[in-house]
Parts: sequence; C-alpha cells; structure tokens
Amino acid sequence: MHSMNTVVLVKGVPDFREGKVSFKEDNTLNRGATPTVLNPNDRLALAAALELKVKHGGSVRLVSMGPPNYKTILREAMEVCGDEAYLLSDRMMGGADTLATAETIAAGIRKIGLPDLVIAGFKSADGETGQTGPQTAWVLDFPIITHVVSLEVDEKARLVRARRTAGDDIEEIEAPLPCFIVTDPGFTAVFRSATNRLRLLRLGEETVARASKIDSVFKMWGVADLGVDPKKIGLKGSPTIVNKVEPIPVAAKERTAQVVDAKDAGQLDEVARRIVQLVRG
Amino acid sequence: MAEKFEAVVVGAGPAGLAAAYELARNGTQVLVLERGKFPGAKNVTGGILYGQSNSPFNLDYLFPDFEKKAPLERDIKSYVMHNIAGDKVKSMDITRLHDHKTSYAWSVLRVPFDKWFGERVHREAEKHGGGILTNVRAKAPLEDGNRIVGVVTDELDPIKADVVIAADGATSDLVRTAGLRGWGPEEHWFQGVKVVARMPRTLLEQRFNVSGREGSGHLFAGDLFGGCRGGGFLYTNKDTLSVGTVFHLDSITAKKTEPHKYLDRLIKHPFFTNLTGGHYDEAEYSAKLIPDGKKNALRFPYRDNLLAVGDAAGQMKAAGPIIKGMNLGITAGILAAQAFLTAKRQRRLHHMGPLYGSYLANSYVGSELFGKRLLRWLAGWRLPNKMLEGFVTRPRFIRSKFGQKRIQRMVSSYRLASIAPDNDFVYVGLPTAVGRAIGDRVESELPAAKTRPIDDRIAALTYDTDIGREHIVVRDASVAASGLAVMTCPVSSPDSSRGCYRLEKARDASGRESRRVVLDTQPCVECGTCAIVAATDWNTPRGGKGVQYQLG
Amino acid sequence: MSVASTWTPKGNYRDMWVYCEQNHGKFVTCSLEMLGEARRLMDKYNVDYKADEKVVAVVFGHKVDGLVQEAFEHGADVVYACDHPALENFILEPQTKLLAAAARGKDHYKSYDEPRYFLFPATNNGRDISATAMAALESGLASDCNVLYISDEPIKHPVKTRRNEVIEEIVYPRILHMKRPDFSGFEWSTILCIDDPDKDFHPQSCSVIPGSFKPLERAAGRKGVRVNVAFNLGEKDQRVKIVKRERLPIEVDLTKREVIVAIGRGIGSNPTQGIKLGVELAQALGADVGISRGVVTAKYPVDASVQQYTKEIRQIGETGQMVKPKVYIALGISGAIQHKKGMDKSKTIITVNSEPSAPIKEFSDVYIHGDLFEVVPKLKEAIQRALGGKNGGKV
Ligand SMILES: Cc1cc2nc3c(=O)[nH]c(=O)nc-3n(C[C@H](O)[C@H](O)[C@H](O)COP(=O)(O)OP(=O)(O)OC[C@H]3O[C@@H](n4cnc5c(N)ncnc54)[C@H](O)[C@@H]3O)c2cc1C
Ligand SMILES: Cc1cc2nc3c(=O)[nH]c(=O)nc-3n(C[C@H](O)[C@H](O)[C@H](O)COP(=O)(O)OP(=O)(O)OC[C@H]3O[C@@H](n4cnc5c(N)ncnc54)[C@H](O)[C@@H]3O)c2cc1C
Ligand SMILES: Cc1cc2nc3c(=O)[nH]c(=O)nc-3n(C[C@H](O)[C@H](O)[C@H](O)COP(=O)(O)OP(=O)(O)OC[C@H]3O[C@@H](n4cnc5c(N)ncnc54)[C@H](O)[C@@H]3O)c2cc1C
Ligand code: SF4
Repeated sequence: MHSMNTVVLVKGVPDFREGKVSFKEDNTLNRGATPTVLNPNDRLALAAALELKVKHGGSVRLVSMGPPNYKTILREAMEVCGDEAYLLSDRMMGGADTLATAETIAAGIRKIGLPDLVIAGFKSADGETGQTGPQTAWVLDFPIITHVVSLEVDEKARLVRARRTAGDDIEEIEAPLPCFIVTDPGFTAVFRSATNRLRLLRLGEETVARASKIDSVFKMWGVADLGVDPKKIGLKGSPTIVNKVEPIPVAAKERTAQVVDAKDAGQLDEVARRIVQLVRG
Repeated sequence: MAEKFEAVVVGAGPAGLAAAYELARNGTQVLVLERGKFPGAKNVTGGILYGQSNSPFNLDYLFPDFEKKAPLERDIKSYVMHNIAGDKVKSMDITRLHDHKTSYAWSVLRVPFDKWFGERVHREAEKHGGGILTNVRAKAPLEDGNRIVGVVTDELDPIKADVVIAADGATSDLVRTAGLRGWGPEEHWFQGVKVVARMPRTLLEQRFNVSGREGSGHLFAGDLFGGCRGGGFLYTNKDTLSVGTVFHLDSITAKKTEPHKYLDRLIKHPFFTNLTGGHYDEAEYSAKLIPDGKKNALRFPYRDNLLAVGDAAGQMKAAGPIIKGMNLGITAGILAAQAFLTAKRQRRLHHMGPLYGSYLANSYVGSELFGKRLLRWLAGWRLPNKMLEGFVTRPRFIRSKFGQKRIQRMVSSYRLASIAPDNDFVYVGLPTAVGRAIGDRVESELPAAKTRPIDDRIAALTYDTDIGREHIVVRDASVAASGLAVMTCPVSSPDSSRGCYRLEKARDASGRESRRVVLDTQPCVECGTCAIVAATDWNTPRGGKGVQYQLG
Repeated sequence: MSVASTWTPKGNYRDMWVYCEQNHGKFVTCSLEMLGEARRLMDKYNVDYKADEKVVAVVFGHKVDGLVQEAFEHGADVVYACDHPALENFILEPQTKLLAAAARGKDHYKSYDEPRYFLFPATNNGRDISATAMAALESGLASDCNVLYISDEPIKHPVKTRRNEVIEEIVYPRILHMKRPDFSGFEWSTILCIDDPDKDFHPQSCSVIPGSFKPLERAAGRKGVRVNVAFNLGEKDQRVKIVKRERLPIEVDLTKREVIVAIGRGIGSNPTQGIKLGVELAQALGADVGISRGVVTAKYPVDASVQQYTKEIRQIGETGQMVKPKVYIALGISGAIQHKKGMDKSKTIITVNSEPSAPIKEFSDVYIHGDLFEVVPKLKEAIQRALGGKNGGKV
C-alpha cells in the first residue's frame, strides 16, 4: 500500500516573547540580539502532519529555506514531528521575498520528490505576509486549501477532506492528493481513539529522540544542488524590496488616573469632550 | 465501534497508578485515563505517605528502589501535637501514634510525586500496548444491557475492557454513575484546605531542627478553629512547608465558617510565627474533600467488572490527627489488580469483584475501615463519654504528673484514636483544656505572617478555563438550598465577589428584590464541597480543563 | 555627482486594479474602502503625472450585476466582471486563473500589457488570491498595508540598480509606496515593487488592512465600462470542491471595536436600568457593549429587552475577548486581574466607580468617582453636547 508522504514548511523567526526580544535605540527590532525560534504558526502545520502520521503512517519531511544556523529551527520542528530535515541554504538565496522563497522551496520539494501533501503555516511572526504557502502551491501547481482547521485523508480515494474557516462560515472542502494545505491558527488535531493517542505519544517521543540526533537525517542543499534558475531566487528573483523601516511610536503605558468628581458638571463636560475627540481622531 | 483494552484504570492518583503498575508488570494491557494535563495536575494531599509494617503491599512492593528514585520530601520522624488555648500552647510528643505499624512516612508533594509515579507506570504499560492518556475525563461506565463493559469519556470513543478500575478520587464520577453510591451526607466527609509555603532549606532545617532526609510533623488542635471538629497540620518538605487544616464537613457547615480563615488563623498564631521564625512565603493554595472511611468506605466496592479503589471507594482512614489515604489507596490498587489477575488466570472474570472484596477484608485496609465496630460503637456512648470528659478535662488532673502521662498515652494510642468518637471533646475540648491548664503563654516579637486574601490566592492559581461549559450547575439558587456554599467553598467568601459562590441581591423587572446564590465556576478548585452542601449538579471539568496545581 | 537616470519599464502598464471580494452576494467592507482609496490615489496620480488612468474593479461571483453597479457608484471606472454559478463561493484556484487571464488579456477596454497597480483586501481570501495571482503574474506584493502613496523614488539596490558591477542610483517613477505595520505593530516598513534590468515586475500590488481607508460617498447612477470575463475553466482548474458551507454561530466581535462601553456588577442594585444606561451611552458613541465576568455569572433577573447584554459572548477579559479599543469606558467594574488582561491595551481607559479604592483606578486614564446610575446619564448628555447635535448627535 502507498503510504503518505508529507512535507512541512518551517521557518525561523525572531523570538518576540517578552524577555527574549531586543530593540535598538530607535525602537526597531534588534535582530542580532534577538534569538531565532521556530515560527509559532508552523507548530500547527507540524501538528497536522503528526496527526496524519499517527492515523496513516508514512513519512514527514521538513523543509526550510534560510541561513545555515536554521538547522536549530529544523531541530526544534523535528521535536514536534519529522523524519528528515532539509535546509535550503545558499548566499544566493538571501534577501528573498515571498515569490523567490516560493520558487526556492518548490525546487527543494521537487528534488526530494513530490509528496502527497505539503503543509505550511499561516503567517510567519516576522514577515507576516501569509503569502509563501499559496505561492509555493502555485509554483508546484498543487491544489490548495488554506485556513484549514481540521483535516482528514481518505487514502483509498486519494482525497483530502478539510474544514476551513471562510469569514463567518465554515466550509467542508474536498481535494485530490497531492494537495497543499495551509493550517489556520485555529487548527486542532482530533484524536478520538485511545490507540491513536497512545501512538501519538510514542511518535512524539520518537521524534524528540530523532531531533536530538538530527545529523543523521539532515541535508543541506545549495543552489547548485537544487538546479534552480538563479534568476528566480534570492534578491534577484524578488520583485519587492523593503525600502524603509521606521519605528511606530508607542506610548509607554504607565497610567495615572485623572480623578473626576461626578458632581462637578464642568469636569464631566471636559471628559465628554476628551472622549469625543478620541473617538473622532 | 468501541476499542478494546484488557484493563482500563480511571484516575492517575496513587491508587490508580498502583493498580495499573501491578497489572502492567504482570503483562496486562492497561490503559490509564487521567483528566489532568499530567498525573498530579489535579491532586492535593496533606503530606504523609505511610508504609504499613503489617502489609507487604506498599509502594516498595512495586518499586523496591522508590526511596532512592521517587521525588520524596522528608521522612517524618517526629510528630508533635500542639494543644492551643488562646495564646497558651502545650506541645506533646505523639510520635508513638505516628509510628504505629509504620515502616516509613515520607512527606510528598503530589505534583512531582504523581508525575514520577505516572512516568514509571507509563513506561511499564507501554511494553504491553497500553499507557497513560492525560486530558481524558471518564464520564461513566460503558454498559451493555445491565453489565459494565468499559468506560465512556468526554474526549474519546467508548472503550471496552475486561476490567475497569475506578480510581478517580474523592469526587469519583464513575462510582456515582455506576450507582455504587451518591454524594452522601456532610457527615461522611472531611474538607482539607492547604497551603504550600516556600522556606529556604537551611532556614527550614534550622527552624525545625531536622537534617538530611528527615523531617518533622506538627499538629494543631484546640480553640483556634471556632469549635470545628478537626485540626491543623504542618509537615516539613525539602524546602517548603505543607500547612493545612482538616475539618469534618458537617462541623464547618454547622458553624457556618470559612475554612480558609481558620487556616489563616493558624498561620497568624504567635506560636506558628515563632515556629517558622516569622518566615511565610505562600506558594500555592489548594483544597479537597477527604472521605471519612469510617462512614464512607464502600462495603462492596465493585459492580460487574468495575472495581473501585482509593478515595473513590472511600478507603481513607483518619485516626486522630493521622490521615491515611494514599497508602490505603496503593494497597487497594494492588489488591484490585491481583484480584483481576487471579480471576483471569482462573478464567473466572466474573469472580474478580468478590475476590477483590475478600482480599481487602483480609488486609489491613479492611480492618482499618471496618474493624473494631463494636468498640467504636461502645466508645460512642454518650454517658461514659461525658463522664470521661468531665474527669479528664479537670485542670487538676491535667496538671498532675499522673494526668499528663495518662493524656499523653491516650492521645498517642492508635487503638484509641481508631475508636474515638467524632465529638467535640476529642477534637476541641481536650486539647483546649490541656492548653489552658498547662500551656505556656506564647508571644512573638515577630510580626504575624501576611496571609493572602482569597482573591489573591485564586489569582495565583493556574487555570485552563473550560470556556462555555460550566462543570457545576446550581439547581436551586435559593439561599436556603445553596447559601452554605458561599461560606464553605474554599475559594469563596462573603467578603469577595471574585470567588465561586456569592450572594447576588438584585431587583427584577417588577422591582422585587431577591437574594440568589450565583456561581462562577472559573475559580473552582474542584474540591467537591458544593456537591454536598449546595443544590448542584456536580461534575468534574472536561479533560485538561480547570485548575492545575504546580505543587499539590 | 552625476544626475541619477530615470527608469523606463519595458512593458506597457496602466491603471489601478482593485480585487473587490464579495461574500454571499455582498462586498466585504474592505472592497469599498479600497475603491475609495484607489479613486483618491488615481485622481492625484492623474494630476501629478498629467495622465488619464483608471480605477478598475474586479468582481467575480454569481449574479453580480448589482455588485458591478455598486462598484461604479463607489468609484470604479471600469469593472471586470465574471458571472458564473461556480463562482458563488470563493475558491482560490479558479479565481486566480480568471484574474490572471483578465490582467494579461486584451479586450475592448484594455490594450496594455498588465495593470500598473493592484490592490487586494487583506482578508483571508483576499490575501490568498493576492499571493497566487502575483505568483501567476510573476510580480511582487506587500501584505497587510494601511498607508499608500505614489511618487518617484530614487533607488540604490545591489541587484536592481547594478550596472556593470556598479550600484547606481536610479529614479523609479510612479512607484506605489506600500507601508505596512510589521511585527503586529511596532515597526513600519515601506515595501516597493521594482522592475529590474532583466525583468519587469508589474503590477505593483498589495493587500490592504480592512478599516484602513474610507469608502467614497455612494454616487447613485454613476456609470462605467463593464468588461465581461469569460468563464472558460475546465475540471483541472477546479480541483478543490466545497462540499458544505455553514454559518458559524453568530458571535459578538468586540476585538475590532474602536469604542467599548463595558458594564460590571456595579449595576447590581438595578441591573435592567444599569444595562439600559450603558447601552444608551454606547449608542451615543457608536460603541458596542461588553461586560465583566461578574455580570455573566450574576444571572441577573433582567428584562428580556436587555438579556442579550448579560451573555458570556460579551465577556471581556482573560477568558473572554481581548480588546484594545481607542476608548474603553468601564462602568462599575472593579478591575480584577483577569478582567484587566483583556482590556488594558486600550488606548484610553475611562472608568466610573463609586469606590475610590477599586483596583481599576490604577490602570485608568480618567477615573470618575460616583454612582453610575447618576453619572452615566449626565455623561451621555455631556457627550451629546460635545458631539454638537442636540439629542441625536452621533459619531
Ligand atoms: C488536605 C489533605 C491532607 C491529607 N493528608 C494525607 C496524609 O497525610 N496522608 C495520606 O495518606 N493521605 C492524606 N490525604 C488523603 C489522600 O490525599 C487521598 O486519600 C489520596 O490522594 C487518595 O488517592 P486516590 O488515588 O484514591 O485519589 P486521588 O489522589 O484523588 O487521584 C484521583 C485521580 O483521578 C483523576 N480523576 C478524577 N476524576 C476523573 C475522571 N472522571 N476521569 C479521569 N480521571 C479522573 C484525578 O485527576 C486524580 O489524578 C489528605 C488529603 C487532603 C485533601
Ligand atoms: C519586516 C518584513 C516585511 C516583509 N514584507 C514583505 C512583503 O511585504 N512582501 C514580500 O514578498 N516579502 C516580504 N518580506 C520578506 C518575507 O518575509 C520573506 O520572503 C520570507 O521568506 C517569507 O515570508 P513571510 O515571512 O511573510 O512568511 P509567511 O508567508 O507569512 O509564512 C507562511 C508559511 O510559509 C512557510 N515559510 C515561509 N518562509 C519559509 C522559509 N523561508 N522556509 C520554509 N518555509 C517557509 C512557513 O510554513 C510559514 O508558516 C518581509 C520580511 C520582513 C522581515
Ligand atoms: C480563571 C479566571 C478567569 C476569569 N476571567 C475573567 C474574564 O475574562 N473577565 C472578567 O471580567 N472577569 C474574569 N474573572 C473574574 C474576575 O476575577 C472578577 O470576579 C470579575 O471581573 C468581577 O467583575 P466586576 O468587576 O463586574 O464585579 P466586582 O468585582 O463585584 O466589582 C463591582 C464594582 O462596581 C463598583 N460599584 C458598585 N456599585 C456601583 C455604583 N452604583 N456605581 C458605580 N460603581 C459601583 C464597585 O465599587 C466595584 O468596584 C475570572 C476569574 C478567574 C478565576
Ligand atoms: S465551587 Fe464547589 S467544587 Fe469548586 S472549589 Fe468551590 S466548593 Fe469546591
């Protein structure tokens, strides 16, 4: 029987949690002093892959494009789920916008061999465009389902059934394998069977163990390995540039209440004017 | 379609884990279902895990190396009762009571302890296709016709099993839904309220005069609890103290008191201040119902292939200030497992219930819970009690060397403690009389401890709120039916609007003013009290939801 | 210093296109907001560059005639419409293919190669199609923008302006500056979509955060050019199928509100009246009403008319909704930590409370000391005065 092959796309992002993130004097992000961690939304993509692996077996391969130190990101991801990890890394890939990123990732996936499913997270915590998933699907010419909150695979019919949020609606979607999935931040894996939950625990432990010895299942590929058109990747393949970065002024909030006596009509009028100004401004 | 496991154990407390381990190491495929996020997440105890010298079936039966491996706090070697009357205190060493048939007495914190125990069980169970699943709440037995054939949960498809072990603690959902018992009256329960306070290890060892792995236990009784039947305890852990109070629930309701206030009174007492050197750093507040085994234990803790163990079956023994629940639970768990294994070997699965019953009856668990009935009955007679009371509490008697010796022997006797009636004299009268007659006046130059108001205690707890689902529903909001909960719920207070229960006064559309009892389930610590003292439909929250302790 | 040279693209690009998303036969609000902004941008553009370029709306759906007219009336000069039952519900792949075909094709209106600019709503569907459409058109886009302007921009870039190993400064004309708040709001980056020596990157595109711009006043009867896009897709373009679509249970969404009036247990002595006062104050400000957990659990015996304001779906706080409006007005709320967590990111917090020691005072900007039953009506009147109108003054 054919067993499911899944690729999960993961990215490293600055750790924005309080105590970790560091800012420059002008209040912009100090990337150098801020540690890089797995993009939180990618955990949901990994959870989806893990769910399918528990229910259908098969293998899960992780793909990331980024600098060589992203190996730690792949390792972090593998602690959630993953059999093999692929890092697409090359100076020439640097500075990519989402289109160039999609081209690079698609080339990596093709080199691995087209899987049954590719799963990406919703937005990354830094670029926050949410464009990479859909664009990669487009480059691969995979049917795509975005904003997926739950997922099922029918191996026999080679179909994906997913529930996705669509505004105020919830949709049930069907698409053929191979297929591209973008998980919604509201994604939840559903396990109703005790056997599957036990399997989930076991696979969880196995993958943590594998992550601690990631070297044996890790590959790093550059532009030459991928055989991708250099014009389509990196700065060169990127239509957009970031022209300027400015801090958005934030008022440091230490509030001291102005105390108003309700009996004083003049004071109340002043408050009312302030409210109206705020509402209109 | 139901999945099938050979054995399902509901509840990863000491009783359930002991049963599961015994099953697993004998090759049974066992699935443990625990509603907490991990074993221990929901659990509180006062402190002491006893080993019984009169039984082989203690924790060391399962883990001969547990004293090296388990996260134990201290082996409690001394046990002192402090009799308090106002600011006078008389301390009496009652280590003899504590040592009765005791092979060890480790203070434990349940979060680390249950986690460790759970880990060991999971490893063993995995070998035979089982394991522990957390975040799963069992709702009821799965019935086929009239027979119990498995369990139904909130989170999973129904599960079938050859044996279901209900080890889901004092508030057991399974025992109730299986029809083995209801909540019963207040008289069947104690309520325990507890704090864990941090104390630097060196300071602790110096203050309590303990060292190495050894520790001490301190008990408090007398007049500082407003006449409630029960008392206070302090057990030393490695670098924390477990401090709490345990009262008969009916005496709390009768006195309409707030349990946490009595705990605070203990902590603020100058004697306590001196004992702790004025150091008080509260880490966690918790509470739980404790079954009073004398009245609450199930005579026949089984139905079909469902066996109840531990608090779920009321297997909890209070002997004076000694509380033995964990060790009884562990023993019962082992015996239930053995009953199943034997019945399976004999291919007479339907026999496992009665077999378990007879194992229990022949063990110390049975005698602790059901023994000495006649003596107990005799000891409960009013007249001799009154006479004894009149005699013993005479100051002259107490002051005499002879009297002191008698009293010391009396309160150190496990036998007496086991048959003593639950009356005011035992809990309040005698200790107060002793304190008053021969206690030393204590003052403290140190300021009394700053205890936390209930709102802060709630705010310091961790919750994963089951948004949109109330696990407790007030059936009758009248003050008469449910008003007691405002006082007795350990996370409610008439002084606070932030607890679970409060009184709402409001005018309705017609202008009529009404007073109603309302409930916010979010601050609930799932102690079970309001299941008994108020008109409620009481359930445990869904798997993973509700309060989550860090220490326990 | 030599004078910077000016870039000339190889292709022919015109107009600002706007993808007008609809849902159940109605435009999402952002569609009209974008049309308004496109109109303003292109009116200025046409003056600045002495040009005559248009605002082009894209309307895909089933039975869209009404929508097409609505687009004209909200500022579109041209509408590319595709009307087909298969487009009733949004599906990414067919929509992308139709859109790319329209943007690339030639027709009775369009003779240029591709749109100059393209705006999409930064909604779930809008962001998706912005990405796939630009992948299909091989151009670039910025996501989640809330400030846009067009001007010439001198650029030095290691790839785009490198000529013979020298990085020159080149002036790119008519560049759409797309500003987006990054990292959920503490940095602002300006994204540009720039051609390079080997390849043009047009359309310059972005997705637009709903609520960033104001729609135009509707001009009834305004007319424009309609171009019908042929629905010529086959099975292989429609691999994804919607099997079922259901409404989620109606929810009260306070998280996007700019003004919130929140009611607490201070209303206890007369809950029906207290809620009414709060609701009236909210109406005067165009605000919505939130409540504390205290009100949810109190189960007050209130009038049916205000019952909806006592339900958990309106709860603000740690276990309710996390809000950060411009103005948060708290009536009779004590300020428990769990409540605070859900509202203290509000820009300005104004509280009414009769108890000077209420913790909420510590994190209020204005603390009005008094009985809410007396204060709120007065405050409402004062607000109506400040709004200018006599009684009916609205924001
Ligand atoms: C303040 C206090 C002081 C005490 N002092 C002592 C002492 O010093 N020594 C002593 O031996 N005993 C003491 N006890 C008693 C002792 O803690 C209990 O008797 C003991 O914990 C009982 O163990 P158990 O395994 O039966 O139940 P628990 O320890 O209560 O375990 C039950 C488990 O079942 C889980 N569960 C419950 N319902 C469900 C469900 N529906 N589905 C799935 N899982 C569920 C719970 O989360 C929990 O993990 C004290 C108790 C208190 C409250
Ligand atoms: C502040 C800032 C603003 C930016 N603005 C823009 C912009 O407006 N337009 C633009 O085109 N680019 C922009 N970029 C560049 C963009 O971040 C990169 O192209 C990046 O490689 C992917 O985009 P993203 O971070 O938005 O990821 P998203 O598209 O938000 O990520 C979604 C998912 O795609 C997958 N994924 C994304 N990146 C990778 C990767 N490198 N490897 C593997 N999987 C991945 C992950 O599964 C991820 O969860 C910006 C970058 C920064 C730092
Ligand atoms: C795990 C957990 C999660 C929780 N989550 C939330 C949450 O998400 N949101 C939330 O709100 N709460 C939450 N709570 C509950 C919270 O602790 C408080 O109980 C609740 O916020 C109190 O609501 P309140 O301020 O309306 O009531 P109260 O605390 O009773 O305050 C009423 C206030 O009204 C004032 N007042 C009385 N009469 C008048 C009058 N006539 N005029 C003016 N002022 C008057 C009083 O001075 C007082 O300050 C949670 C609690 C827990 C334990
Ligand atoms: S609400 Fe009931 S179960 Fe919860 S803590 Fe209070 S008394 Fe205990």
